[in-house]
Amino acid sequence: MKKIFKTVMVFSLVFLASCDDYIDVEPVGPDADNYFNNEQEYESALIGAYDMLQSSFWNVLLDVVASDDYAAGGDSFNYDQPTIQNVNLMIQTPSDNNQLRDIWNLMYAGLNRANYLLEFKDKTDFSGKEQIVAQAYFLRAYYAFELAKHFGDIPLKVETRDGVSRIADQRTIIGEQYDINRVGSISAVYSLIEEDLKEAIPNLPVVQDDVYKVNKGAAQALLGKVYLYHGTFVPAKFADAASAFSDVIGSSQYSLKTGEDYQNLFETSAENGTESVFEIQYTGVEPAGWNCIICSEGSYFPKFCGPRSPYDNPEFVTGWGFCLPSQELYDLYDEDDARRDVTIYDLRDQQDSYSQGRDDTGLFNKKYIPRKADDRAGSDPLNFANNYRSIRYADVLLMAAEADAQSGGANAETYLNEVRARAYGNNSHDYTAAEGDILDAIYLERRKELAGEGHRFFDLVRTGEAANAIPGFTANKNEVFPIPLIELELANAVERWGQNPGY
Amino acid sequence: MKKICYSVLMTLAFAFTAYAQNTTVSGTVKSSVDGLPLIGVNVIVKDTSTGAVSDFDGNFTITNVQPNATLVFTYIGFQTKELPVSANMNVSLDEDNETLDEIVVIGYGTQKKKEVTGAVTVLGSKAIEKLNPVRVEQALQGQVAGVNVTSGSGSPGAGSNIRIRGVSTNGDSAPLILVDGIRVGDLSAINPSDIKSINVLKDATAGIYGVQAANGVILITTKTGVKNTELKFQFDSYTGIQQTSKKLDLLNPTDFAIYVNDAADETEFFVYPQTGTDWQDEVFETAIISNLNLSASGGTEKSAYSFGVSYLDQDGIVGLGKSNFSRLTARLNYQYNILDNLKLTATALHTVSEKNNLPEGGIGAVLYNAVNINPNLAATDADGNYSLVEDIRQIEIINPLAQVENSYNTARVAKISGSFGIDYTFLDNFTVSTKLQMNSANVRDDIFRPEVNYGPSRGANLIGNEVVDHGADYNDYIWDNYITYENSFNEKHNLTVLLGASFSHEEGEFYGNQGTTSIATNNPDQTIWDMEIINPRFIPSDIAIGNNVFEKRLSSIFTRVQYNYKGKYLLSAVMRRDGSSAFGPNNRYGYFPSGSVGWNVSEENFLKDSSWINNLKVRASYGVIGNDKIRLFGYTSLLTGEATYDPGNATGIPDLLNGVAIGLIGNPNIQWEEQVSKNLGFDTSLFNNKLSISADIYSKVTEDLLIAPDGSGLLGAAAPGSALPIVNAGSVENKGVEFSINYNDNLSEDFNFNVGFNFTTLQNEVLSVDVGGNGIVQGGEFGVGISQTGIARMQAGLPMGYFYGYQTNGIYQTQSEIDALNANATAAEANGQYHDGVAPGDLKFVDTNGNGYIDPDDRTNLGDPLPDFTMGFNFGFTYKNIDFSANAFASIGNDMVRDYERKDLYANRGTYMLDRWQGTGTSNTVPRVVAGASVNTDLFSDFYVEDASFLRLQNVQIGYSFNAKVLSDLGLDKFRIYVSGNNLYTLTDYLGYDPSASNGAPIGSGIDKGFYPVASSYLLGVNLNF
Repeated sequence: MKKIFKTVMVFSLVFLASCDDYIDVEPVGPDADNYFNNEQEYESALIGAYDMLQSSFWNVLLDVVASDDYAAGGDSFNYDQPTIQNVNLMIQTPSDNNQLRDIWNLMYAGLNRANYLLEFKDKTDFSGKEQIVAQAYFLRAYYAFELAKHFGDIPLKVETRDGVSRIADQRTIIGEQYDINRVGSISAVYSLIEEDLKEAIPNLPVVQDDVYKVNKGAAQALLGKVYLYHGTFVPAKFADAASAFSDVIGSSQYSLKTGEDYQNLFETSAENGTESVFEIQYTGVEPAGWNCIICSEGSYFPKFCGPRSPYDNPEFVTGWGFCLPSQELYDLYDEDDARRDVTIYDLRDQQDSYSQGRDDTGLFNKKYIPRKADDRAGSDPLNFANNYRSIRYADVLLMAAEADAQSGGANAETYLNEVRARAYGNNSHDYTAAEGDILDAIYLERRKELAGEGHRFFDLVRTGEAANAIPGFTANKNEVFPIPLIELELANAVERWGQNPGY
Repeated sequence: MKKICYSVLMTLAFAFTAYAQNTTVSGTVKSSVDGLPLIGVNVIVKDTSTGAVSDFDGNFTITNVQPNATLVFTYIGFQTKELPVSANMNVSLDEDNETLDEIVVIGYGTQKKKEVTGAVTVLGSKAIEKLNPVRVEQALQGQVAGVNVTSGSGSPGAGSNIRIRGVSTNGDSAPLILVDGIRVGDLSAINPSDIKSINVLKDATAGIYGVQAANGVILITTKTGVKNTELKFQFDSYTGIQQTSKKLDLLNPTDFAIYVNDAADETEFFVYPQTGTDWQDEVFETAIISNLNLSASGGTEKSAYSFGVSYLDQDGIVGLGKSNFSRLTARLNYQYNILDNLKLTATALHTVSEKNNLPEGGIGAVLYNAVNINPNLAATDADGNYSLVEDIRQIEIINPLAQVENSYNTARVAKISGSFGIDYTFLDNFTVSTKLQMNSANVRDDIFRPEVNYGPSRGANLIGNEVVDHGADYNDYIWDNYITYENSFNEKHNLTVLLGASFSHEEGEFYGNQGTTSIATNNPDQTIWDMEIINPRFIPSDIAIGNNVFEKRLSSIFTRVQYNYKGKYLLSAVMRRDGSSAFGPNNRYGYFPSGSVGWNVSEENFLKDSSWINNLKVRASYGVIGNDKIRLFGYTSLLTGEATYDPGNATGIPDLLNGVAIGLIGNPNIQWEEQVSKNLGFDTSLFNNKLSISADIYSKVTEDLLIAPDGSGLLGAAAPGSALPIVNAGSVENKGVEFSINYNDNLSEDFNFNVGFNFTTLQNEVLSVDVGGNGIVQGGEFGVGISQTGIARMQAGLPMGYFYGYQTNGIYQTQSEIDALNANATAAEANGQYHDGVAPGDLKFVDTNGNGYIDPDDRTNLGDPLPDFTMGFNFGFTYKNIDFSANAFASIGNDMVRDYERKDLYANRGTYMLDRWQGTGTSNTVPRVVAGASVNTDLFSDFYVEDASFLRLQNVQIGYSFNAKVLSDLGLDKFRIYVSGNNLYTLTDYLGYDPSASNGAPIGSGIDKGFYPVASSYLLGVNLNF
């Protein structure tokens, strides 16, 4: 009896060891390597890739301030947001983290999210998948282009597909950061981006069922833009650019807003109109918090551009007093140029109504000023609803004019005049030979048309005018920003990548 | 499968057999102290309910006893004695002075202190009574060598951080705490006077808890009743006042005005004020604390019981009625012998607490505002309304009084813990035990934020009202099953073998709503349902990925073999195997062996008859133990990233597009942290046990530290909701010496005293950080606005969380001094300056890397928050009816970062700024002030690092007990009144509120963002037994 009892005892304790499935606790949500089983899951991952577009408001803020037409601004008593101040003065260094590191990190994060979908693009078949994959290629191109614009010859994982060098359709996994190298040249980076867009265009519809989605025109316009930037290094690309832009223009999907519609172009109510080729969508319906600024579904950029407290106005919200237009920019516009009052909010005669900060000119960036109409949920000013007009049709026309002028095309003048006619409401300001080189006229038109939208700095760089135009700009150095030193260190790449030239 | 294991265990637990036989014994019981007979001693035949009580002459007789039985003698105030039955028994009992036969709880069993081979410290109920702590943790500080308790806040109900032998991980360094076997995270639910003993397992002895043991284990047992004792009541109560232990020396209105004018440098002028506000005086107040405790205990022949209720009500010293903590506890502890060999134990604890709190600990805290707000501002305006802060440079600073008025934060906790156990003894030497221990807690946070305007642009301004109504439910259980074999062979070889299994499960769920309304009704009674817009705390996409729930399981088997030869040579070996749902598939199970040996030298013949050495034991332990506090599901990449986009026409949250994205990137190899713990020590008691000394030398090396490294942006982890994988990639060593000495003596019949001293040295060094890149893990933040992150670091060769910044060497006195340095700069910085951006009066940074100019690489080690040395002092005496006790704690070598100042124009500063540089030769320690950017305020330097060493008089208590004779007429056993003071005095050079405060983070602790100081309290109390 005793023996039996003992035996049972010992055995049952040993038996306990096999109760190991007790600790099998399944995670609640899906895991990343076991996804993409149906169309819905592809759609969901695609939304993840779109989401990172919203974090590019840092890019726009920095790019606006980097140009000659806008000062950094901010608190006059502090060196408010040192990286923004440094970029304004063109004294940025590899130690500048903050916004520069944000751009680096967040655009790579967007690239990785697009790549997550592309890595599994062949896993499950369903009709309409090509269109989803095409959007992912566009988004990858968009993020890579943002990186190339800011940092030049960026590191990318590259593979050869169908005999063509491509960005690898794979996430970057742990350990690979120590092996991935710079592509080789800015030009080669642009080529990779162009391949993504060329793959995307055929599978994108001319009109999308949802406004936020990338359509064919957006991909063509971005392709043209990349070619245009590429043209700085390989002039033959200007013709490719012209061809891409003529596809957009020829689609007849887009037009310039005029009159009151133009006055309201940058109001939230005018989002996703016919002048928009590609917009980044923002909304204030969900509150956002300081602990995760990039989790916001809205934009933080407008808050920077508002007049500082205690400014009180029925239309506008107070801001941090950054991105201040220069008097020179204001004076550039003719009295009858409708763009002046769309671009600049003039408080020069009311400078007592707000607290004047650093670099105060009494002028504010009206295109992206914080508006009360962009009604926000929550108490933190991080979620303004104003969409970022990433590619406007006016921009397309001017890029098309430039590409034509560079490649001997016939329509440069027509495109330029279309933009001018909208600005003045008539054709009295059409281009004449007396103005000199049409390219210079186009560059000047871009400066006026696109002021405060973040394009000017890169236009100056790619046309070789930056050193003349921007005080403090050092040629062969400031064309691109420094890669934050910490990023070189974390990838063990201080030697392998090296810092960008001149830094 | 699971069901089968359970049913087998249940069968085991309830199976039983029984035995019986006959004879008669008698004898006398006396006190070993004075030889007088003891009346009313319980004499029980071991493991039966048979027994008797000694009579007036100390005599007893028991019939029906087995010839080989053992008698157990218990008497209150005396040590329990067990003796084999003999013909005429003359028994003398020793007084219980918590010495060698003290029982030590070592996990799944107990052991006599004399036989303990590990570094275990026991704190008994008497020691706890002397300290009269509001919280249990306070009883440990200064009492137990090797234990350091810091608090993140002195606010009522705030928690403390317990660290045993240093910081052994960059993760969670909190020890495992079990109260009657029940896992406890927050000790605020426990009433200190319910505690019978606190056992701190500091070395590899904790290895019986395997993967949970690396931070040390604290085992708390609550009071139990004694069988065959009559019902006794105990009533304890105290009430008293609390005041802040410190106010900061801040600039007065006039000095502040001069300071601002000096800083603004003629661009703005400030009118010298006539009056102002002492904001600290406004927010600090004298607060009441009171505590009531009633308990009862007793026992019958077969059962013992103890139960108690207590109520604590503590107001905060900051907050004018908005800060308060109240706690109601009810406790039951019951033991019942169902059969002679079948014992049942059950405990139950119910706690209801309510905490009203104010923002504290940093930006936005009431104290932060009180310290930084302009002292010229009147508290209220002409209309009697709280004044608005108009200056827009520091948008986070608001009128603290208005803030208090508009704060409505209540946290409620309702918690039920229970345990149920059965011990069944069979075949004489075997005991099988099953114990189920459960917790169930509900936590509610109710917050009302009314529409408020604190002044222009204040970040805290609110348009419309907000209500937050958040809840959480936590449930966990531990089910232990084990069998113990205990036997002696030839009266020489004593063997105890333990074999067991344990299942542990924790789960929780979070829920609630947040509501807003644009209608400004400003009514603090508004609930979530009065709001126009109500949003759930978790949206469906959060719930889909499990953000609202967690679950963790642990399955373990363990064995322990203890052997001693005649109580002389002691040996203990432990092996535990733990499997956890938190570990990666490649490392699901860990094996944790440990062992210890001891030698009771005093039992050897050459010492046995020593006239002065009563006891001497040397012991050593070695073991591998683990830390399992790792992120759940860290082994796999879950789609928990934030992936929400606006479709372009969203008019409400439901319209948003919710997709998926990778969250924390997985690491399939993730596993526990592993610690090798070594300890060598001795315990001795000398001169009739008057002097006792314990000393230990220890080393703990924790490897495979879990690090969430900063990583290359290429990996995409900067996306919202994403994070780099946590990797096992570092090691840290803690080593040091612990020493404690206690002396107690009777100088006369009426006067006895005790004096104790203990100290601990701690040397902490990070041995390796293998995360790629620069091998540095950063934490901590300095400043507000233009803040600097990463001022605390984990780096090989340096202490965990050391402060990283610029070293200074005085102040630049003249421009020519700066010019000379610029002229000699060997390598030009961007602006060709030796030290860019400085002017006379600025801090002179040291070019530590010697490259010829000041750059960020000159930042270096500026100290660390870990004390090098801690000490505890205890002193007490009783003279006739008077008792006195006092204790103090000292911490030496802990540094702190002074970061509670906004350091900006129009924000107040400490009076040390009166010594600022105001021209050549005026100061070489405190820099000039400027309105804008400055190396003095924007860069973290040793100007902000202070030595926060301190000596604190923690408790002084004087009591008077009424004579027993007087009391017995009143039917009382004990009646004592006392006055006591806590945190009466702190000796320190540190300028901030509390040098003992810490946020508990391994990297980034010791950065003082304005810790709520601990209160000094003065209490009047009474103890009544009847």
